[in-house]
Amino acid sequence: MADVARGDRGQLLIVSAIGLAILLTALALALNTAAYAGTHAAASDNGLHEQQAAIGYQASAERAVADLMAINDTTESDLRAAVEDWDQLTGAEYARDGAVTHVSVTDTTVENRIVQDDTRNFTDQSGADNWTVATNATAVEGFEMVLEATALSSSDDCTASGACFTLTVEDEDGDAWRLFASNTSENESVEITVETSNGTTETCTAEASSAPINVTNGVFVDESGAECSFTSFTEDDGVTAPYTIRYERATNVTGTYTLTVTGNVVEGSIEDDERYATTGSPRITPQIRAANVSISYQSPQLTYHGRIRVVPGDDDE
Amino acid sequence: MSDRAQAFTLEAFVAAVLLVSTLTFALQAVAVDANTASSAEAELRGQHGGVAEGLLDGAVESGSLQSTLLYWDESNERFLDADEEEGFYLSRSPNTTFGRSLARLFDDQRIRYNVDLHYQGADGERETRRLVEYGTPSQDAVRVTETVTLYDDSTLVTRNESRRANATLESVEPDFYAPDASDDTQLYNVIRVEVVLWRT
Repeated sequence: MADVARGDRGQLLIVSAIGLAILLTALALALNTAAYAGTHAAASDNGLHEQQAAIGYQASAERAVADLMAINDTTESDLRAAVEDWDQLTGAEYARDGAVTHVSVTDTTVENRIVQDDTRNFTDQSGADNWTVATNATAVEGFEMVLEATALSSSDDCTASGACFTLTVEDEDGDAWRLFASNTSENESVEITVETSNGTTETCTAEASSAPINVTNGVFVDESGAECSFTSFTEDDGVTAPYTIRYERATNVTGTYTLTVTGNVVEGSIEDDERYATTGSPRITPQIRAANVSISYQSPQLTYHGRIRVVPGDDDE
Repeated sequence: MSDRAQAFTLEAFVAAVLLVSTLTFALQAVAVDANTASSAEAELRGQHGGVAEGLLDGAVESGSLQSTLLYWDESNERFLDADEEEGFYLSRSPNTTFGRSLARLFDDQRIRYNVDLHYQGADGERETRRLVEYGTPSQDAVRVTETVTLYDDSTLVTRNESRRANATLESVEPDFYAPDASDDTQLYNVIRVEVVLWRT
């Protein structure tokens, strides 16, 4: 009897041990799947939402920058100021949703058209007769002028320190290309002398009351319509971009000119720059062709940094 | 003899536990009913959110969202044809391209929505103006937002959403809901459009 009882106890122990093991395994399995499914669902859901928010932010920024660039007479500094305010206004809204956003303009490509279409001397809007027409011009797309004979100096000292009207195109190393204009003849005539960076000079003369000059192509047209070629600063190997374009003794010349340069020419806004205005002569029309913009969007789940190039008119309609 | 009976009882219990845990495991492998229902609901909500987000994206791209923000009657200082007392549209959408698409998408689907506009006010504080109100959102409401930039030379629009002459934001500023938040630049203000949707 006692033997049977002893055997029974063993069976009892085994059965309860197996039961306990099954119970524990089941519990572990159940808890594990629940926890895994929970976090997995939450993560993917949030991640998708955050990505959409970041993409939406970038699209809004791109749209705003493109619109601001397209506004007439916007210079680089105007654009920077406006984007800074936009950044602050939108930043406050996104902060409420727990995201830190930032957008800023890193650099721009500005094309400026500088025009004097009333026949007058070549001084700037403030009347200065030695002035810089454009600094840091990475490219000069076109430069044409028409010189009138009447106001030209009759001096034959056409050098950098002389008395003639001088157009100087200088590079960053100080190498300069110069164009002088004078009227030494008794009759009405326009004489130009071009001095390249290595010191060689070329002259062209027109016995006429006015003469057109294409400065970038190096072509001067005389009274009979014949062309006199000279070395343009674009062909002068000693002078390399970016250029600084200056007028000196601008009261010793009258006429008109049109010049298209790429670069950040205007200091601040046009109103702040006394050399130009948006109307009259000389006037400037800046047009921002492209801007590089850096964008960042940070939230607890997502960090996004991007650089985009905005070209107005790209995503219109 | 009595020990044997106890062993059998325990065996029975273990068998029961085994059965129950098999059942639990099987049920877990196939999605449980209650769970299925709630995920479908969430999906539906996500769908409405997605639709609204797509609508807002399209509207901002085409400019119809912007023209709805400029659908303003400056002499009465409220949205054009809005309810006189509230100044916004109560239980209806504005009669603009964007407003009509909102109505077309949601009105016959038992979906209700509120549209709020947030921007920086004159004192630098955040201000909110309601555009559309259908009531108080339920707990499972979805929220979608879009950012719209207004410029000094943006103009108020007519009833058919064409630009009005001599009505730039700069010139009507005192009678427009949002002030010029960037005085020195061509930027006027940034409006955050918030649409809250829910099922009735």
